[in-house]
Amino acid sequence: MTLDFSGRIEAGVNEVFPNVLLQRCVFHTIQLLTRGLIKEFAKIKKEHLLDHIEEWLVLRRDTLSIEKNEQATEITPFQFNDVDLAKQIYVQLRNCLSHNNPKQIEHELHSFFSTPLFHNWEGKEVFMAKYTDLFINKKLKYSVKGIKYIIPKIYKGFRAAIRKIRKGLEKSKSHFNKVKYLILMNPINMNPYHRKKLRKYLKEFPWLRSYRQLLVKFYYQFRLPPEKRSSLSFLSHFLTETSHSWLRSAVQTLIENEENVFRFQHFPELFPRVKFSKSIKVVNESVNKLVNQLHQTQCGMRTLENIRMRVSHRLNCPIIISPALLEKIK
Amino acid sequence: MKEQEKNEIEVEIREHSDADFFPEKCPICKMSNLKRFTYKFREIQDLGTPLICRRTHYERVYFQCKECKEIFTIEHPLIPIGARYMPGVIKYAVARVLKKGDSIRRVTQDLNELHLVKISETTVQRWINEYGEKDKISTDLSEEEPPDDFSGFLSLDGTFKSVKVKKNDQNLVP
Repeated sequence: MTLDFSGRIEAGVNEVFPNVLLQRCVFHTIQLLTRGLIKEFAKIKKEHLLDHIEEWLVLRRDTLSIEKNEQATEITPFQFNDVDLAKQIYVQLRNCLSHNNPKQIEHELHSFFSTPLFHNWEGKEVFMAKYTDLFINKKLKYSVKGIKYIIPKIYKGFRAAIRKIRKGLEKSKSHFNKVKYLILMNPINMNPYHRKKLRKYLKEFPWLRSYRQLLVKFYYQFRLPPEKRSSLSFLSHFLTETSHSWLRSAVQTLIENEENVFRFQHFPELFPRVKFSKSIKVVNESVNKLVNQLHQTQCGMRTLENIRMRVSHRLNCPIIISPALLEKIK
Repeated sequence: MKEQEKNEIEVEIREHSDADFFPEKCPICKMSNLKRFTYKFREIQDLGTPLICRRTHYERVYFQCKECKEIFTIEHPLIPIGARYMPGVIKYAVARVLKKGDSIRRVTQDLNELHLVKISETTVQRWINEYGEKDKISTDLSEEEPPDDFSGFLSLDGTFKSVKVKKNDQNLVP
């Protein structure tokens, strides 16, 4: 009997058919691992990209509220170094621009631009381009009248610089969203187009290479003859101390059920008379699709008699509704 | 516009009569001395198309035995006794609902609008319950013999979840 990884189904089968030989469906095996990995990738994306983007947005909001309302001078502390550096740059800029004398502001700013703090800042090119533009194209000067226009433009230039950095992160996020599904693809189902894209994205995210290698090895096990197949314990390389609980549980379940997962490979030896069919390796998911279609139309599904009639005719086979469910409905 | 469409619809009438299958003997006395006694015309609806409305004029003939004076009828091979719809209409509705998974309401609408058969949802539902053998489907399969081509292998999927649950079947949620 081929089962998915439902513990309740297994318990029921063991009770009703105690001596039957059980094996795990290959489709559900792959689904279990890929679901765990999707959760893991979502976690990584949140920790490294989404939170990072959010911090840039917070910094932007904070600078705007400070400029609008002089009382609110506190900026939220940040966990990412580059955002924290940008915050320090902004604080320094504010110190320089807080003077009354335009010439003193100019002097302070120019001396700040030569400090290592400013040199190490990622957004300095964009900021300096905006800054020089003020004096070359817009022809502003450090005078009592000109300073009124220069100060808002400097703050705007700072925000343009942090926006550029944020846009780069958003682009990475978009690429990550695409690559995570390419990483999970079975090599057999991949077209040259997918391979080309995957190669391109793996250059951007080299740390994903180890995930891909392990997954390719995992998929390969289903094509190997039993004697050449290696143990699924290599899947534990997916795990780190901070791995998502779904991935942890999936890897553990697969390692524990390894024998049941690959039992289909021994099927011809165990049952030489039975003709091998695809349904022995995988549970037929198309049945679920048909039932789902019926459920979506919601026709004649309001009483048990109707459900029984509609489903059994649609699937062209008799159906059994579990006594536990019947009792629950009563 | 609607009037124009109405004018475009062609009515196709077929005629069937019990007289085409004139009985050879009286069912009571088995004598072959028979005559037409009386008749009654009935209009039976058939599956049409959006532009062709199909109707069957059925002449139900009552025969009389000249010997024993018994009045009797025969069963027409194409038209069941008491039918208001041709068997094809019923087969169509049953197949759409039970095999294709369409809703009764949708099928009734299609029959009315696309096949020009005047019918109510209740009638279609009655056919479905009758042909789908509602209440007759066995729930105890322990005595059932497995099919001839059964390999001896079973597969079970316990992780099925429906996409969404509607308000009216809250009771069915496990």
